[in-house]
Amino acid sequence: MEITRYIFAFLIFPGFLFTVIVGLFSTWVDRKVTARVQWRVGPPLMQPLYDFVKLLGKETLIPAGGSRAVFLSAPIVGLVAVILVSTILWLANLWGTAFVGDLIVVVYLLVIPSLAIMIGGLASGNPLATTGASREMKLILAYELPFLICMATVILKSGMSIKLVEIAKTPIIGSISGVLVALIALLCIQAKLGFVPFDVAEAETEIMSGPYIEYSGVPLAVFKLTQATMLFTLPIFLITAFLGGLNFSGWGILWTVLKYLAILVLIVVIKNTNPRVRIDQAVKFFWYYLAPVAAAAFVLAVFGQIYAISWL
Amino acid sequence: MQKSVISIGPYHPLQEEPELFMLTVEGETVVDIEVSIGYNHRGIEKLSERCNFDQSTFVIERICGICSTSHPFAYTRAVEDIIPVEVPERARYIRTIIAEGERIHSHLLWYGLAGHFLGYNTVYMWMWKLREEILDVMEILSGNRNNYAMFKPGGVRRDINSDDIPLALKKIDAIIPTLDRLKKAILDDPVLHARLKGIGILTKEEAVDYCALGPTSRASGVARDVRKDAPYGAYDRVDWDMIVTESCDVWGKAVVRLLEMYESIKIVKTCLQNLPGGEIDLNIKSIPPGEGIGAHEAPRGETFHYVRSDGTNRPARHKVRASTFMNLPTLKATVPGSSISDATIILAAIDPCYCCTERMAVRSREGKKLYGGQELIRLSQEKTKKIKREMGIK
Amino acid sequence: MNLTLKALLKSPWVFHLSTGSCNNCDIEILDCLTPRFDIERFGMRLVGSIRHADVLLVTGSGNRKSMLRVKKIYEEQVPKPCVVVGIGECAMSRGMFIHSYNCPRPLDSDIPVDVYIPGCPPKPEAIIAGVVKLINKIKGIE
Ligand code: SF4
Repeated sequence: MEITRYIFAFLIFPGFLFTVIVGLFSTWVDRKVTARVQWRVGPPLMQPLYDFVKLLGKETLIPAGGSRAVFLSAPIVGLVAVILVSTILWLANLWGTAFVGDLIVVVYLLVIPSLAIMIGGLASGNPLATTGASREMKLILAYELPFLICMATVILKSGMSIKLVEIAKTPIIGSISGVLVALIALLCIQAKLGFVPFDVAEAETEIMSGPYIEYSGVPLAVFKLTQATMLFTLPIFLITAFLGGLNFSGWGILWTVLKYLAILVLIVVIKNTNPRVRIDQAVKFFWYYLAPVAAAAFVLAVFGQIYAISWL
Repeated sequence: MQKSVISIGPYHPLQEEPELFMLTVEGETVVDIEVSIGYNHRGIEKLSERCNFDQSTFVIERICGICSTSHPFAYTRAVEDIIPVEVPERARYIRTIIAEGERIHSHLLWYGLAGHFLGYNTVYMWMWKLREEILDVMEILSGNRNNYAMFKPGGVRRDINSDDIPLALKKIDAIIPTLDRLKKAILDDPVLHARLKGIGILTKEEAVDYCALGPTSRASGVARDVRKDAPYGAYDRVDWDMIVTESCDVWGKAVVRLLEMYESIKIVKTCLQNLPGGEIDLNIKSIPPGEGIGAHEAPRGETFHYVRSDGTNRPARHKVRASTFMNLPTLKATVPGSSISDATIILAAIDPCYCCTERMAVRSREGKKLYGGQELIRLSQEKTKKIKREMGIK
Repeated sequence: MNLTLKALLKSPWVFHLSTGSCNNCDIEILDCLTPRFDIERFGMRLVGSIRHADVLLVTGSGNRKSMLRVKKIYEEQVPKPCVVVGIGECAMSRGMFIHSYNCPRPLDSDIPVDVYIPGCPPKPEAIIAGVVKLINKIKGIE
């Protein structure tokens, strides 16, 4: 019976189906908010679904110079990773089902979608896709460093726990170092999502969507779905790690939804009020500015722990 | 490091027109650039020689959709130079109004596209929203959104209705506050500064050497503007300033364009307020044999037309030199050494327009030119006949 | 009508190809995206890669050099099903350039065109109306 429960959890709720539905909704929120910022009306609610179904029905072209198996499997790997993350996060938040070290697993799994994009791009053999893939790689190297420091701070502040359930119970944001790491993590997530200002890897007007350039039909649909689910999962991850987790009793539901929407809208607004940076600027930004700040926050947190000052 | 070639184009979201840039890159750094055009060549000069002087204006207007006033302006000036005649005062003012309106919308368009190239779609949307207002003004004044069809040799085709002027003025005044807001948003954006400053440097000497024109040269400190150097239209009758910056980079070009819009608004407003009465057209009946040249400062730089008449009602030779033709080679100086991301915005910074620039040359494999003008004409006529025969068209 | 086609009509992603136009038509296409017209309301988007396109918007008078590319793009690179919209007088009949030595053949002698939108340039309103006609045509409504 255990096994069916897990399969149910992975495929229906809170896994695949649930994540996909809310993910598509988040995409709609993204596009709608973008449109409102730009003085437009924006697409109808069902638009992301239409896009997805349409892509499923399109022909899938495979580039002649590419490696077929890798080219086709890369999107699926990415999607499965995100769904897993989503499942783990929700199980931890809802029923407290967790295992020791699930935070570490989640952090690892979150790199996989980016890797999948990279591998897919490289497998297509297109020079622009290769450029995009190499940019993606540099970007991963850039943002992972501050991101990991943030995670270390989180672990420290939640009393050396690497279990999501316990981390979710401590609202890290209630202190100086907490605020700092939350903001830095937000920017890292912007990069993970591939949103402006860090959309260097798929810069449409520079390298024509980069790694996605050769994708069409079903694999493209899967990639779009991955992006949609990321847009749902990453804010949830932020909430779990920094904002005291999800709460589903009474008014807590409203509060949770509000938290989620606020983060989503914040991400979208950042996306729409900045131009794209260059890849070298992005790397510099993450390494020379964010990483030291994150490290400083970490040191603050250490002091806070040692001298038991809660606001540090 | 290994060199590879990245091609931008011919169909690329960077620009609306088809053209091909071959960037030779080492990693992310561009070491060489080659521009290949010809995807847009329509043989306008030849077509113009088929039409009579009046019809030609319409063909010339279709050289480029953004400069749909600049080319007719230069062309009509060239034709008037053959006779030679001076157009009536009112026509001068009307021409100036239309030309400056076009400059505003062209610069707004550039801003929008530049924002789009930088991934800053909000700027794109806002700028184009503002551009719609300008197009409205143009529609009020000329009846058309884009191809205004206002010009003819000897004057203008249509008069501006004096009842429309207050509405147009009101609309223009309404644009200024929005433009101010956008100006502030652009000039104060730190990320934009980081992206645009210090890239694509075209020094003053290089700008002179490459004969750069328009905002491209004015951003490098070369104060060159046909409207000031050899005034025509109503440009010497109104008060305006030439915008010159010394920063030489992409940022400088952006600033020049931004401030020029204000000057243009000033010119349009003054002209509309002081519109003199009188005739609008000289009703030229025939053009004597002779040659004429005409120049106009288009939004991208000086546009130059040469027309030769042999006494018939058609131009015997019509030669067009658009501003991008001179600005394009400056890319050789600005692009190598920059990264791919910068290269795209540097390419866009000269506001290239390939429709205006298209030439054709036939070359052998070794790169030697094989044909002169006469042979080319003969060859093309033969080929057209052959194709028509193949398709069964009489 | 099957589901795919229905979804296609709800989310036509357009890619735009210019074959020697005066670029006014191309600008009016871009104009359709901007706040006053906002075709994203109908799910339309301008995409960066040909592989993602459902609708090809072709403008221009069929320049020799670019027609070769357009043909190749249509035949090899666009995932089917895909529809072609000819925008502007140029794409319909080559307009003013019909006598040009470099525009020997009309567009539809090389690729099949589903809808023509006349105008030089067509206003953005006309382009939107044309696309709506296209949708109705595919739906089988006259
Ligand atoms: S139809 Fe008219 S506006 Fe459109 S590309 Fe042709 S000439 Fe230009």
